[in-house]
Amino acid sequence: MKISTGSYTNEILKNIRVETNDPEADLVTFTLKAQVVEILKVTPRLVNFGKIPQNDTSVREIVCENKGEGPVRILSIEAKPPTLLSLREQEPFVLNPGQSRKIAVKLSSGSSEGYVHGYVRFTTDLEFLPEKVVRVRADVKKQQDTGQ
Amino acid sequence: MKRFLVSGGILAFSAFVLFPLTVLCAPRAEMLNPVFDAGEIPQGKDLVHEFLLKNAGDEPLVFKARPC
Repeated sequence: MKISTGSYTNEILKNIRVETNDPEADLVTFTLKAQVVEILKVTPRLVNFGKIPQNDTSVREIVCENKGEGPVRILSIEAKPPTLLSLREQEPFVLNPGQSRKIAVKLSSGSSEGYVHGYVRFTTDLEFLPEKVVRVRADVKKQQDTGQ
Repeated sequence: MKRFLVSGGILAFSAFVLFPLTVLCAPRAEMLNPVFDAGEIPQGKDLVHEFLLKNAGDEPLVFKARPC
């Protein structure tokens, strides 16, 4: 059994049920447990700008925190698509244990209505977690529909 | 009384002769360490473990994993 733990942030509990032709045990269960330790915590996992008027801009913050015992190097930060998202800083930086940093993400809604999606990707020097992705979304509305 | 003894005899025959035969001539799924606790694992690292399912019976064991 193989589980990729990249999307887990706490406990993993998985059962595998196996059907057999054993008359005394037609269903056997294997259980796999683990506690995932999040070394680089990035919050929120999803940035939802909510309803935003056309041709407007809005800014949200993403917080990166080093919960591990050694330094974590953020090698790059990129926001895509560039027509929708931009970052105030994109320079690599180091987070020492316990340290955190806020990254401002700016969304430019553009002229099209509807849901828009993008992401911010952090690449790291962590052996098991070379990148961490934060999804971004917004609902672009006509000016009068947003209640603003 | 005679009928009772005959019935008892049939039951005893079933219990001591037929039942062990059916158990012996069957597959037997034996799980060695059915629960595995990997403890703490860094996020991103693949969690890999092999469980062992042994056939301790004397007929072929047929099995298939069922999604949970």
